[in-house]
Amino acid sequence: MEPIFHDLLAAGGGHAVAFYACSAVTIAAAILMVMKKNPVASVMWLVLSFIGLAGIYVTLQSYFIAVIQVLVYAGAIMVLFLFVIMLLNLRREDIAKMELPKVPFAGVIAAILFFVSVFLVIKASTPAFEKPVDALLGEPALAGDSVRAIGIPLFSQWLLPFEITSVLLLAAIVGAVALTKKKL
Amino acid sequence: MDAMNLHLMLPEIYLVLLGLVILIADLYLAPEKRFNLGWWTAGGLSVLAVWLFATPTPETVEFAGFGLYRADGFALFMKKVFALTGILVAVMSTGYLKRYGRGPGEFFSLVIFALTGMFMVASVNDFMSLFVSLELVTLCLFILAAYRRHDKLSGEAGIKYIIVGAMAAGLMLFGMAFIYGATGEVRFTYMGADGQLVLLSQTVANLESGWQMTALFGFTVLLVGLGFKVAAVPFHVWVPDVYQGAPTPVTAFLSVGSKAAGFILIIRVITLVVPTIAPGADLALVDQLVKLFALIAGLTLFYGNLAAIPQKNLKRLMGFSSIGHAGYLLLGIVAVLAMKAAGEETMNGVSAIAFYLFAYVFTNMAMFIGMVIFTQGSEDSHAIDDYAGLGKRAPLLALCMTIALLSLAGVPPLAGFFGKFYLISSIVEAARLDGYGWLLVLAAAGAVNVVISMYYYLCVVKRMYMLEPTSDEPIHLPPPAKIAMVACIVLVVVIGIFQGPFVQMATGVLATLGF
Repeated sequence: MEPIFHDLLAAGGGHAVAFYACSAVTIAAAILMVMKKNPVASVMWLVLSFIGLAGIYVTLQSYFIAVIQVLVYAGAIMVLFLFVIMLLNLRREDIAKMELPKVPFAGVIAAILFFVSVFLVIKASTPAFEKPVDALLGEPALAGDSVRAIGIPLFSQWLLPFEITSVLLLAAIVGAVALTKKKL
Repeated sequence: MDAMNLHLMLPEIYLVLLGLVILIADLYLAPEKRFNLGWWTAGGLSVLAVWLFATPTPETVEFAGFGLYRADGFALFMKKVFALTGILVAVMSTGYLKRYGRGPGEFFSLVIFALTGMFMVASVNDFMSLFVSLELVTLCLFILAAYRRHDKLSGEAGIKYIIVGAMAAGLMLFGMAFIYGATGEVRFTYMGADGQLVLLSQTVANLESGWQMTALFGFTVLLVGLGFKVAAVPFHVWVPDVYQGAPTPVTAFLSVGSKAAGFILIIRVITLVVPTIAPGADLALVDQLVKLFALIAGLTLFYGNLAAIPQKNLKRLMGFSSIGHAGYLLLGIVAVLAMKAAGEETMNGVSAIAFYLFAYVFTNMAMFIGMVIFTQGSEDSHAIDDYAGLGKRAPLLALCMTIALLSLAGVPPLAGFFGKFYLISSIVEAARLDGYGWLLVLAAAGAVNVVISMYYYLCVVKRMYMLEPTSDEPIHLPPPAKIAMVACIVLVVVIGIFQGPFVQMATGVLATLGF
């Protein structure tokens, strides 16, 4: 394993270092998110994991997706999560009482599935390792101006579904008020 | 095709504006005047209905929204059906909401937004707009179903509808992804490289057999998702609870609007995306679809009608009866598919479905308006036994409900009879094709179910006329609801006796269907 890693670093230079650093942050934060008992701490680690993911998008030169990742996931959705958790107002004693049901059989199946998927990912990605990592990282999914590449079709060819979605969101807002407000 | 053509989309734009006007007017009106918004809605939709009926049936398909929106005869016909449904729902909701006393502005704007979704559904020309339009309908109906927020049954109805709806949406997306993967195209009709209009069904027909299989797998999954929307067996489990728990006007809206929207999409997918098999070519795959749909149609017919027999609650009974009606409508779908499998472009099944839906709107709406009047806007007396002696307590109401029930059962010369007649005859026509003689069994099942449904509908009628009333409380018939109900019943009789113009209207949709 080690020589491959070394070669990659040698071939990719700074790009590869950034890529692996972001990946490490993403994975470590994801693991910590699962391990933490306090839900608020979990959410904070999840935010860090999302930011790491945004970093990976940057190294892949998908700047627009990186920005959206931070704005939508690390920003809006996480604020929503935090609000829900804070509104639930879990106390320390309640958290201590929460224990996962012990189902060994489910654990075994989950472990098997995990290792099978790891095996498949490694097996499927070997040809990619034959390419120099710099070349791999240097191929952006959307050439250069990715905002333009997404924006222009969205507001011309695909305007109709976009507009219907806006009515859908309006209906959702009206509905949220209609279902929750005490006096209407 | 590469133009926005906003003028073709004016009905939808009008609807969105009407919804916004209702929403904003709600803020400025005095509390006791807010319930008049129902009349604003009914009035606004009446203008739209007159406008649609005055629009001549287009002779060619016109495209708008950069080829994602189609204006054709079928879309126009279904929009007329939806506009009429909307008017009737608004009329019966006004009194109901006044009694329940909760948020008319939100209620009516959601009804209008749901109608906008249905209008879009009628005109979609690509999978993405299809998905968002259908979700718009589902979301609005979910909120409306849960509108009685202090009522446990209503909450249950809302939750069940949203969960089943989400699952159906997931299945539909899954199917669409397969079709997109196989064809590389999400539009039903589009400009080919040579400037000719291409149907997605032609693209599918030209695929290699492996990819064709992928696309047809996609259709099957997509049609399962749509099966949830139209409540076909075995995707019907949500129907009785949702129909019972939702506020009665919403149940009426669900039973007509949501069902019609589902059938439009099934027809769109089948006419535009499923390939017509050329004579001599391998027809195994489309043939499988015919068998699948024949099985679903048969099960839906028998399940809906047999399960309705032991029901004690009229709303649940109407739920099962609507499953039965979905079975009849599926007969038309089977007929169209069988024609496709045999390489013919005859689509009499579609015009039979169009006629049936048109008749079904008035029949079902008359029945539901009758129920809203009878329960005086509450939700506590939907037991069938409560209707005992209605013939003595309120003769006009009992007469109208009886005619509606007879039409639902399919008694000549009412509209419902001819609806069923045309659907069964479209199946008989398909049974003449080589290798499809077995479809006659399905036609026979349709006929047998008329008799079964006659039994449970007549049980309700029997209680109304043969039993003594359990209470002497007079039933007040509010004039607007009474007028709407009588108008529906008159139309049910008129459509049954003078079918000519209505059949002509329904067959008019065929000219622009397959382009």
